[in-house]
Amino acid sequence: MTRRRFFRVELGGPLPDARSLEFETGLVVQISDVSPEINETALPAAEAPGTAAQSALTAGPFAHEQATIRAVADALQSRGSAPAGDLADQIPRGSPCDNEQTERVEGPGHRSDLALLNKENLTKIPVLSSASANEGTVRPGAFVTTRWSLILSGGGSKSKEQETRAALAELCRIYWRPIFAFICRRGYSTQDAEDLTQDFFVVILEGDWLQNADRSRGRFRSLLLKSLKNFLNDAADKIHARKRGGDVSFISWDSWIAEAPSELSMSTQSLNSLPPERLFDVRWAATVVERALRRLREECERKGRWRVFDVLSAYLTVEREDVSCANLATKLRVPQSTVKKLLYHMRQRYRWLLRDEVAQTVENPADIEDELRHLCGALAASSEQAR
Amino acid sequence: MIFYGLTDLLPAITHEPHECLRCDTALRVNNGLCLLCLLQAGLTEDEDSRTESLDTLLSEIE
Repeated sequence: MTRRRFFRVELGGPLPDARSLEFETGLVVQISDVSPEINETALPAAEAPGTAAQSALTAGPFAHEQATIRAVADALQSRGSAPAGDLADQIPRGSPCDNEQTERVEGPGHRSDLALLNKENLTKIPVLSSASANEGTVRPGAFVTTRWSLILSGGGSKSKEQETRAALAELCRIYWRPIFAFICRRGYSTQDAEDLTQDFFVVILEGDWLQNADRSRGRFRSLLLKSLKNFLNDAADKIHARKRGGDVSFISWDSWIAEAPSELSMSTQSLNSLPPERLFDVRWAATVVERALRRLREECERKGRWRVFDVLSAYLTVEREDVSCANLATKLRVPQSTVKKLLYHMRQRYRWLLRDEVAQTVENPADIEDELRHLCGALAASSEQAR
Repeated sequence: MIFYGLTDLLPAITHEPHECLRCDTALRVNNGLCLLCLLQAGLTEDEDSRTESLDTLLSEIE
């Protein structure tokens, strides 16, 4: 069954910079364009349920004072495991979209929801993250707003500070391991490395790091590494200050380190031969890859098919001619033709998830390729150094 | 600080993994998969990798 739902929002004020909005319930609306007035356009053919939150609409000045966003979410998807429900049910109660001005129009095969937002309550839209809107919901190549581009765009604005800091905290939560590994590799004891990692996050998340950082531009990884090096320049003073019980702030990162542990393994020779910068990159690459794999596994699990991931993930990078579909078919108790299809789509999906992870740390989608090449180069060089 | 047996302390990540037959590197992640090969896979962008393709297929398995 194909269903389509319309979601219409009129904004009586400046438009958000974010190109996608995610509501508390997981509803994701992509905004591809803006028209100064409601303008019905021909919609693409309806797609199967589960299709991404597709978007609308006609050309118009993006910064128009009284602009209207008419975002069409086609077969909306929720974040997380919950299936997409009725759009109206997903609009958070008490949100600007759930008010008396909401107009619901029932029609054959669709329902429209119209929410009028004034300038005052526009800022109350419970947007959680524009970045996660990419998660499984957007066309290939449509890495619209990434965490890093969001941070860079909002770093100097007070009004977006909270959103920006949340995005920055999320990136730090994801990428704390390379930082910790770098500090350890610099020769600090485990305890000192923990303390310094903590202190560094305090600087990043609670200080004015972003305002002072040279953001022109650089990727999150390189900017973070540069900042970390600067931070460690007077690390001895910081450690002594801590030991004297001075004024110390804490970032609560227990939950970060309690998350699924990394399964990176490397030879002792590699570990001992790598300079801190290289180890940082290796750790970074492992984080990116492991997150993509985890998301792929979770997608299989949501469908009750963890076994498919368990068996086939080992073949994500294996040449097709080296895969024995007959054996895999026996293991999974499915026809060989299904194994072939599963492998094809799992590889495709993994690639997309991997690029999406990288996309969150670069400003422009065009940088994804370069970032991947840099990390590949770092891994190859690491192996060379270990020989 | 409790590390919950985490593998993130540097000595804990050394397991002397075998070199990958494809790329000759010895960095492994989940299930012994080669880190570099998994990363290189991302250098090829697909025309169509929407989640519903895999989702639909997974749903259709009996």
